[in-house]
Amino acid sequence: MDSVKRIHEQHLVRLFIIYLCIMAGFAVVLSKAFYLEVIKGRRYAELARKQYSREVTLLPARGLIMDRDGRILAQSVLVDSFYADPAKIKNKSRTAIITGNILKLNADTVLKKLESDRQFVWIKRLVDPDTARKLMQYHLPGIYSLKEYRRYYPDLKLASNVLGFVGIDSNGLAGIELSLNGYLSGTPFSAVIDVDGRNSPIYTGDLTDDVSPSGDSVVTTLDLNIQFILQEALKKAVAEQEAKKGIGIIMNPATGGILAMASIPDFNPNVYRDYPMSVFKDTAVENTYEPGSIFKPFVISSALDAGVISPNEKIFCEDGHYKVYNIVIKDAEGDFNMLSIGDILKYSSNIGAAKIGEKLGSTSLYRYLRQFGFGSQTGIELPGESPGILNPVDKWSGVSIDTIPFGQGVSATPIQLVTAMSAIANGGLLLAPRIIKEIRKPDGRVQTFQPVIRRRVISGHTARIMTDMMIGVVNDGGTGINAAMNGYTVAGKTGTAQIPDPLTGTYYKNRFVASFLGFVPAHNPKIVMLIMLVDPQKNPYGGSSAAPVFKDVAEKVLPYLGVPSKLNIMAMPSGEPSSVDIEQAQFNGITQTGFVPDFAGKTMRAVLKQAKQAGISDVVIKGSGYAVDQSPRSYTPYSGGPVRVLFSMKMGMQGGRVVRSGTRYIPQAKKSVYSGKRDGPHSMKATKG
Amino acid sequence: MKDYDRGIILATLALCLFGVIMVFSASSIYALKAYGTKYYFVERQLVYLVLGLLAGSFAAVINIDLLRKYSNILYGFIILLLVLVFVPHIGVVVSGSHRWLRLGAFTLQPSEFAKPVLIVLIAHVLEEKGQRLNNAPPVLLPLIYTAVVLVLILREPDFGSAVIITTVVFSILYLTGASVVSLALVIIPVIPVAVLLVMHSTYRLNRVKAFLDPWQHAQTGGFQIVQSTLAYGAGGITGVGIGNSFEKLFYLPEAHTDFIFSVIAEELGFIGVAAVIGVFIFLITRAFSIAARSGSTFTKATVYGLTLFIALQVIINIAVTLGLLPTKGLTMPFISYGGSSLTAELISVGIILNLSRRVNDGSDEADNSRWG
Repeated sequence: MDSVKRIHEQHLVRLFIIYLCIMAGFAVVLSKAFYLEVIKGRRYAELARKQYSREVTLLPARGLIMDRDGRILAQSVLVDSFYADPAKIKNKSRTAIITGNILKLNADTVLKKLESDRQFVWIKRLVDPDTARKLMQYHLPGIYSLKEYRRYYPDLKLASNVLGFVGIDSNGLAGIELSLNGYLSGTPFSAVIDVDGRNSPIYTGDLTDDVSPSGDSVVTTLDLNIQFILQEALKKAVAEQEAKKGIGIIMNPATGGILAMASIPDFNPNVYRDYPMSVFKDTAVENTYEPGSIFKPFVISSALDAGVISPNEKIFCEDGHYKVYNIVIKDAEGDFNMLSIGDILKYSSNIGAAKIGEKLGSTSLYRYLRQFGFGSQTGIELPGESPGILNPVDKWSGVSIDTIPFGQGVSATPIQLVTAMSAIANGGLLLAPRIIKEIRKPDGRVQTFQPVIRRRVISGHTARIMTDMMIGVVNDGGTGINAAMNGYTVAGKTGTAQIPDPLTGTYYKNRFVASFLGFVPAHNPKIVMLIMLVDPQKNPYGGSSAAPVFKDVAEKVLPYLGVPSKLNIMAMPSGEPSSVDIEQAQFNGITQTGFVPDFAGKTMRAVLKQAKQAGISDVVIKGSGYAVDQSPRSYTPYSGGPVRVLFSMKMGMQGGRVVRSGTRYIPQAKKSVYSGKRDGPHSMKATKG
Repeated sequence: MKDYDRGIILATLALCLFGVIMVFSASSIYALKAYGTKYYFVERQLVYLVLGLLAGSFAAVINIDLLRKYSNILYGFIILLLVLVFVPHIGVVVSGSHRWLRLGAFTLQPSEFAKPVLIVLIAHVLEEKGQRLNNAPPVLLPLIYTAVVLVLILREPDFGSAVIITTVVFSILYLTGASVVSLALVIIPVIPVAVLLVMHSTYRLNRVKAFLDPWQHAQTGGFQIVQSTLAYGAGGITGVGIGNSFEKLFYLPEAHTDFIFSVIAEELGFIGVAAVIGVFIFLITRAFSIAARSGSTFTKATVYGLTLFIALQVIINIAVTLGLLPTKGLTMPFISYGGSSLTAELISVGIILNLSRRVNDGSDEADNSRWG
């Protein structure tokens, strides 16, 4: 039994050894677990955290661009952008062929990307939804997508030259998209998201509660419908006349707000890459043109305002041949002997204009033209604006005083011409042209851009005389007869400018800029419009190619704006609320301190109220009815002293005032047509719509 | 019934149910992405558990002498299955390994069942031959039986299982009184063979390299170890809570099988890790005490062997998740997802329980000749 005992003891020893080994094993793993979890826990937990989290810089949704009534011109939509994690792709050539096929990319280029050793390679960004869906059906391993914003222009080519377009990463590259990029794009923000081992974000629910910030939205002064009317008419004219380009601008002369601005050729900003760079230029502010005869009204009104000529004066027009220094100035419309100032404009006499220029003198002419805004940027909120060319007097040649009056040797942007014409239309005030009406912050705050008066250029009296002369242009025998409308009086001026040849320094023989610049209705203008056709092949004369476009557009736009026609004054105008009127009403309510207010057309009570607001206590009143004249002139700096206001019962038009009621706008003028009563703006009552 | 070891029953059931919960936690997201339902793996695991409990209960109640009598037939059957895994269409190849047999909708891993069968056969041989040869337990015959199994398992290849089987067989021989000299004579030539096997196979070599410097090989072989380490770190003392593991979200590969313990470490922290290890230590200690009290060579050898399988697999599995050993492809007993391993382990426990009843009611004492 000794051996049995020995075996038993040996067994217990061996069992103990094996058991000890097992327990030692457990001890080792337990201590290592303790080391990792308790001692190194913090550090590894941090490393792990880092691995699960990605800090990503996200761009907020780009703000909207809207027309003045809030209709959307540009918006951002979420689409897929595809990227690859090459390490997770097994069959790279197959993946490259499939993705290349669907995304319309070169398979070799894709393959090269898939063979890179980075963890993240863009394959294609901002893919349209249909294509994205197709690719996703393949469930290709290693090919993933992220949601990004893509800019979308629902009306395609409409206002494309004004709106511009956006590159990748919410970067405005042209137009309003560029000039207001700081507002539209918003501030990039960073966010920490959790991702799983396949790099897909883990949505834990609370992510959706995150308010995604967005850029500011921009409300323009554009009117989508007017823009459409103008752009289509211009496109048609450019095609018919086989012109190189067409430019059209419509401005509200009371506020400087641009209702429409079109350039042909236009483009579709949704697919801007399909177009050459040249079409992206906003020709209305970036290009300058020698204006030609449409420049004459500015020169003549300057001379009238300066008092160097009187409206009834007659000027000898040299029977069509006027030799100055080494050049001979000719008239295109005939050889004239004596012409009145009005007829000089009506028949567009270059010689007459040159002689008026001489009478005014170079210093005064230069000063007046600067006052009209030529030679300096208008400050419109669009990129790349040119100041045009108006040389200072000391750089003028001997003939500049004769050629500038008919628009040669000077160049201007279309926006400058429209802005200057608005000053004549609104009674002599130069306004800043505006294309931005409001900026709406995502938090609901609204920054409103008020009309800005730059200065008075000519007196209201001069403006009225000038208006009458320009009405003559659009009358029988005038060069602008093709712009004449049924039911509305048009004031305007034609232009047929030779295009300078930069190589020779002279003018091309048969290349012209045909234009018409005018406003309507002449005595209470609602719109100022410029139509410009560059190098038309069919008919180079502004009177026969551009003037009809003005008429076509105005015929559609005026009823749309609810401007009553003389023919059919009892007819209900278009039911559309007229934003021009609204802006005008708001504008008239503005009292700029330090300036003498514009009392024209107001009742006595309104004048006194407005004067009080402007800090003017000494108002001398004469007559009764409505204000017709005042001294000092409106919008001139007020430096104390009495302000005299002349009233008359005979004051004409003052319609178009509106009141706000709830959400609808009722043009007050329409009401007064029915009732036969005329209310001053101060006594308007809110009407339920 | 009262003679069965209740502690072992309770510990086993606790581990199995805990396993079902952890399989669900670790696999639900993966299952949702891969199979469209988050219950894919947990449903199957529940089926395996029921099958395993039935098979284990059967093993616990049958007459153990029948098992001994037919152990050589069972061994022959297992060898046949281990050969069949290499037959095309019957065997299933997963990433180059021939470890599985197709069985309708399920697969069977014969090597898992080879472990208890080999142990029972060796124990039977040790008892039979040991009595005849008086005090000198035979070494050669058990090693030949083992070698046949090892050759087939290494062909699969399943190096991890081979190592464990070798270790367990030598431990049984040692525990049943084989002379240290004769064991050493066998072991010494085996070591260079094992080293050669590692050096010869690139995947094994890569695993070893990755093990030696996981952070350097984080994008290739070391990835699992790095992620597992991060899981432990993220877990800390108390864990991130059941269901909240981040590592299981496609960072940690095979989170519901070989690396389920990493998920446990992350979700339940060091406290959970210690508790699970504690239950295993309890289970192993109980089983060892049964074997120690037994007077039968067969009982001792069987219980030691089956328990050692469980113990070694637990330690190696945890060690792998901790980066202490190269990755092996070994599951965590009772907890990892997998039908063959769970069933085989429950059968092993069933046999241990069967023998525990014999030890407790004294019927085991009959052939007490060597153990006093």
